[in-house]
This record gives sequence, structure tokens and C-alpha cells, in this order.
Amino acid sequence: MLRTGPYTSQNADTVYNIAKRLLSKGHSIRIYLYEDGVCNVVKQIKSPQERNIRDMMAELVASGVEIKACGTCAKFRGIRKTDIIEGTNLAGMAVLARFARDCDRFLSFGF
Amino acid sequence: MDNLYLVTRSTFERTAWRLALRLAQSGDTICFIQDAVLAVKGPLELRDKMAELESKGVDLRFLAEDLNARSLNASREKTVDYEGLVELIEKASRIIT
Amino acid sequence: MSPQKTILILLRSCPYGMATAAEGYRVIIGLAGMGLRIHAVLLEDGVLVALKGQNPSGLGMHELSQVFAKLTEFGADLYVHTPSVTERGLSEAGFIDSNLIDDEELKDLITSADHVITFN
Repeated sequence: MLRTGPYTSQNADTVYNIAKRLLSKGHSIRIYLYEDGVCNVVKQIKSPQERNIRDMMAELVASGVEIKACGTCAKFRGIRKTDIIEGTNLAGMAVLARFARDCDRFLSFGF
Repeated sequence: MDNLYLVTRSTFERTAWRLALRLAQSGDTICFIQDAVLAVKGPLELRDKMAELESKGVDLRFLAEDLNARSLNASREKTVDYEGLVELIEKASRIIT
Repeated sequence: MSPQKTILILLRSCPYGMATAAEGYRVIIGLAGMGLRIHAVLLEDGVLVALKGQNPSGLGMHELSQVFAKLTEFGADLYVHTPSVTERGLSEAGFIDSNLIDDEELKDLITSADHVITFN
């Protein structure tokens, strides 16, 4: 679970770096974006001369990572389902519950 | 290994590390990542307690990529890179941030 | 169906200054409502969530101690870490009903959990 947005803290980068290594070892990964975390998959992120967090998240999706963003958090931040990258969806607590129920390890990144 | 504690915030500015120190038991690992790699410098209270924890059988680790980014160093045996961090995650029963 | 998992939720922040306590609450009731066994622990600054007499009307925010007091109705258990209470010069006497735990009991809750989710 990632609770912070892009370019404010290192959390999204840490999640990406851990996810990449876990993927290369054959693990399956699910990421639930909560609170400002939903901003990491906004399509319109532009980052001239900097790493693009949206592209990093899209790369994870393309590698088979399931990314869901909290629908309520998105609503409170003016983000619509059409604003987030392909392959990701808005989802509620039922999905977070499924992630928690199905996974072997749970990592949470906040403040 | 039992629990993996991941500390992320500066050990000088924030006190999140205190929880890991308070709860870690023999067999647990505390890994300092992001700004928390400043733990190699203190504060003094933390440095004193680190020795105590290690004598109790708690492993302390620092993430190499975060140390390097900040021009900080830890001894080689206490440093892990992302590959090593992922191994700690795989081995842990649960991860506490 | 897989056996029910136990999730320990550590809530470590003061109410109101950060959204953490309120957002942690949503996860607690959300996961409890989905059939997961939830132990929620207020610790460090999070113990202030349990302090009675909060009046955030001047902030335009919802009062949090009363919603946390009703967690048991959602099937979640609420714990307050007493060393954090003492360190802050507070007394459990002014707190909503909860289970009081020390460091050793907190360690036991961690050991009995499948996952630990932190709200810091």
C-alpha cells in the first residue's frame, strides 16, 4: 500500500525499486494506492528531464503488476477514472481486502 | 527471520525508529532506508541502543542505494542493496514500516 | 475459502493535523467489513485519537474519538498502547473504551498477525 504521491517523498521510487526486484524473482505483486498515492498513476504527469513516476507505474503494470487506486481518495482529489493510466482501475476496500487476504507479505509506505 | 522493520524517515527529525527499537526481538531485522540511513550518524541515543540491540540478536541493515545517494557509509556487513532488501522481505514473517 | 487472516493496524499519528487517523479508520472498517480479523492499535501520537472531549468543530472536521469508540460494532478490536499514553503526560482515565496494552502485549499482537499495516 502506497499512501504518498509522486515527487514529494521517495516512497513511490522505493516501491518501484522493490517491485522490480521482486518481479525478477518471479513474485506476483499488487499495489493499492491510497490517499495521495492515487496521484502516482495520473496520465497527465509530465516530468521534463526527470524520471517519470507515471511511466514507472505503467512499466510495472506492463510487467503484470496489478495496481488499483482508491476510488474515494481519487474523488477527493478531483481524479476521475479516465484520468489514470491504462491497466489500472479505481477500486474500494473490497479490493484492498482481497490483496491483504491473498498476499504472503504486505508492505505499507506512508509518512 | 521473524519481523522486518523498515524505517524510512530521518532518525534526527522523526522518532519512528523508536518503535522498531522498542519492539525488535532476537531474530528480527531493522533496515534503515530512505532518509533513515542517517541512522549511521545518530542521534547518540540511537547509536547507543544499536549496540544493545545487536547483542540481543537483532540485525541492523542500511540500504546501500540510499546511503550512496546521501554520501553516507555503513560497514560492509551491515549494508544491503535492493537485492538484499528483497531477500529480507522474502525471509520475514511480516514487515512493519 | 482460505482461513481468515488477522491484520494488525498500527495508527501512529495525531488526529486532524494529518488525514492519517481518519484514513486509517476507513481501512479498519473496510477490511473488517470484508471479513478480515482486525486488531487496531493506537500508539505514539495516535493515542490522542482515543482522548475524549475532542471538539474539532472549529476546524470543520468530524470528531474522531466517537467513531473509533464504535469500532467494535464493525467487528474490529481497539487497543491503546499505555507507554505512549504515559510518555505524553496523558491518562487512560480520559480515554474511550479500549483494551490497554503494554510493549509485551503489543509484541504478542504483532506475532499473532499475518500482516501489519502502519498508518504513520
